[in-house]
Amino acid sequence: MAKFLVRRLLQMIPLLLGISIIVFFLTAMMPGDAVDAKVNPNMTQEQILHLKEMYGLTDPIPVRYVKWLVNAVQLDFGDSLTYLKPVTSVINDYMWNSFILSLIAFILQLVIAIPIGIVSATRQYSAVDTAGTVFALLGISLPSFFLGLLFQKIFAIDLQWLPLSGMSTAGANYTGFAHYWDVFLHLLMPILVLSLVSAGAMMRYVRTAMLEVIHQDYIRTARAKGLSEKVVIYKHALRNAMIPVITYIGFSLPTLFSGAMITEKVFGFPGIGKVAYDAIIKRDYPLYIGFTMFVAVLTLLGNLLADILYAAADPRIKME
Amino acid sequence: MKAKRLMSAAACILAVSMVLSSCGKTQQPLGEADRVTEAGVSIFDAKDKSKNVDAALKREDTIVIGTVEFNGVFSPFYVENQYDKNVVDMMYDNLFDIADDGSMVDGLATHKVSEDGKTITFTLKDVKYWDGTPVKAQDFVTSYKVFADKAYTGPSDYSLAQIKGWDDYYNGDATEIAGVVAKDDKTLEVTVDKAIGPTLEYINIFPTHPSVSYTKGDVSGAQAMSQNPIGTGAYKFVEYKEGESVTLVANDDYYKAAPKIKNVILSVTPTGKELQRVQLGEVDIDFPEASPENVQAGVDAGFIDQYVMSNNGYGYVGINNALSKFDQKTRQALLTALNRDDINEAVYGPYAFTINAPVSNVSWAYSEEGLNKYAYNLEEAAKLLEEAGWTKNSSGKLERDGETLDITFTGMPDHPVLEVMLPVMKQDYESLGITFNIEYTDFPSLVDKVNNHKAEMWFMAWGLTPDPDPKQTYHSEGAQNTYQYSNPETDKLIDEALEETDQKKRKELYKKVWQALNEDVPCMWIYQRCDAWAVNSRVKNLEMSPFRSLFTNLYKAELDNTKA
Repeated sequence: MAKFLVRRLLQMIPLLLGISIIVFFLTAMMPGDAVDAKVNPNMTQEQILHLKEMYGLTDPIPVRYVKWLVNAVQLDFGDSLTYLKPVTSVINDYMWNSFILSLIAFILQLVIAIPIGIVSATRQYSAVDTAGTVFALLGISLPSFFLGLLFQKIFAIDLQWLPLSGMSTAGANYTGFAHYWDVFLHLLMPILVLSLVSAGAMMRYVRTAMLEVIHQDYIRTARAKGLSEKVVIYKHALRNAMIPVITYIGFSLPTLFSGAMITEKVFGFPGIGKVAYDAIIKRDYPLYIGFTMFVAVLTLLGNLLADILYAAADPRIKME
Repeated sequence: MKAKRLMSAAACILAVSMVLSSCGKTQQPLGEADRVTEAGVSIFDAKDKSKNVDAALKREDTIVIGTVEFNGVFSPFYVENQYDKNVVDMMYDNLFDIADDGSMVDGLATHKVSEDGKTITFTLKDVKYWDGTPVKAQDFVTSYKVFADKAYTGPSDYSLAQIKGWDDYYNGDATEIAGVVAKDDKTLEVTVDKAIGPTLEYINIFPTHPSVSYTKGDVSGAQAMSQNPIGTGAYKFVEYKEGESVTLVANDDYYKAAPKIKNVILSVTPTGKELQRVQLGEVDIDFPEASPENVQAGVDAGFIDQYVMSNNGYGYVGINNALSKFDQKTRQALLTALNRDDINEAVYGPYAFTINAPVSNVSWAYSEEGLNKYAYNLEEAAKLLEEAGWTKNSSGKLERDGETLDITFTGMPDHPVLEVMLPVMKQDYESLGITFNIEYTDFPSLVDKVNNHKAEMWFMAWGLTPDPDPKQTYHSEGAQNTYQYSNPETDKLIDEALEETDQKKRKELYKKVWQALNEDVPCMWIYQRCDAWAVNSRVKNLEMSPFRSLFTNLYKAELDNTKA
């Protein structure tokens, strides 16, 4: 196990290096730079050139990459050109808000999708299955911004049950429980939107995996030896059906930290998704590259996690 | 809906022309506004204050103002984003305040200008920082030094002020800026190499608290002011929640007067939700787009006052003047063939003005005397093109010296103005025999293309500073003259107007600048649009104008939490 982990972690190094080269060069080759994105009509030519020089934008791209890499291996990703703070601290400021939002939405998504997926599969073509499928297709097809705006219209503007946007009520000075309740009310709509739009796909995933498994011979054998339907489905079938679901969960790890750009924008939620998007628009390349590398590391770790979970779900898989 | 509005444009032309004729000093209210202030702000008064919402009324001594996202850069040295700047405006004061017409009036000091205009002597008023430390002349010297430091990477460019000894400090070994001297604690003397019109505006500066460390080459203290602001302003910094809000509290010792509202919170509003947040009482003030629909919805709410005023900037279609096909006559023809009035009406209703020179209609330098209006007229445009030497070839396309008139327009996708303008433009231009192609790109790519002179025609907007000088944008040596416009006569006029220090004489000179630019059409000015502020009627005595934001005046505002 330890050997496996060390080997996998070491394999990540060349991978990350490759990713960083591609990301850095692609970002640097985007037309326009941070200084172009912030011109004002009173800037003189001298000042524009001076700024480009100070930001290190005048060096050739390979030189810039090497400089960046030397600092990056010491975990210094430079200062954001927009926020004028270290990239790591900008990510830290916004990431946890996104994480709370995405984590709750993700759990809710599993809680909705897995049971419906199982029931849909075990009672294929029943009314429950049809309803589940309709629900899933709705979730997959509805864009999150549309659902978000719809919810805002219904729950915040017309019914006035929930706050329209943000993460807490400005000027309310709530403390203790009242504060958490306030934050919860603000999170409710974005969480519902996020979990509804992704639960559909997840549910179809579970249903397909489950259907495949319950038509296997060993399930028939289990039934033949007289096991109850409950034991057959939840002990024998579910565990095997979970393997593709685990892959999905592993892949979802980075999305928990990388934020939900559109939903965050609609709800004015102070998350990292919006920040990363703005970083591209403002050509804030230290922030954008730092953030992309952060997501790359999480993606690789997510894959590793999925591999470890496979072994837990399926004893046939050995970590060699 | 856009199309519908364009169709109804003709019906509204009467209203538009009424508004247009009202530009200038004695303005009439915009649209259906109830009244207009001296500074030219049209006000729609709340009609039914009993409709006010409890969510707002229960914030007794706290005002919440909606804002676009912050960058969180609250150091006056580095602030760049307008929404960060609003916070800075509440926390810091300058030597000069900006008056409603963009001219400079005494702020932290009274001033005297020498005979030759080169030496300005400031006598500081008795002002204290938030912590009680008195403001001294030396504190301003520190501020100048930071801006003159080579390590400074912020957006301000004080070199324009031509302060004596600036370059020796910036490039050389000088440890002091020769032109900036603290004579004693209360007297500051600033000397410039050359007095120009905007000298006072260019040397305007705030004091740096003595606890902020600065030595030549190390500006980290000025940068750190972003996290620990300390100023003299009406409101003191309390807290910044990233991406969410900024909280400030009244500075009861503020040198102008103690602020009447104790707490100010700026709260981030998602785009498009500005008016709804005021309606729900989540915020007291917000900044919705000035569209007829929004203004009407604000009126209908009953308890919302609305302030509508000119935005400090203008939208324009850039033309690459260096291309031989875009000679003066052709540019004039292109502008005449562009239906600006109807486009503006369709996008902004009565809340945008067609402009014919790059100057704000509230500036002291504003003049429309002798300006050609380039009213939309396709026949006139065809005539101008003919005069420019373009003739129709066998396939009906315009041709001159074997070259056809093909134009590629570079635009940004999903831009509200372009969505309306481009179809109209394409149709009209092609009817004249021009081949009009459109390509799309994002903003920094567009800037890159424009700066490298690779764009033929594009759409952008400029913000305007209080001083009307257009040197950077229209002088042949201007850093931002991206259209590569060059006319030695205009250069001379711009330089003359910039170098004159008497405002009355400058006004006359700028009249000529606007006329010269108007004649040459270096780019096609489309509109100066309006800003609208929706304000809960519980907020009283709120003052604002295009050059002097409500944030600088917020200390005068009061809250009245009764529904009457």
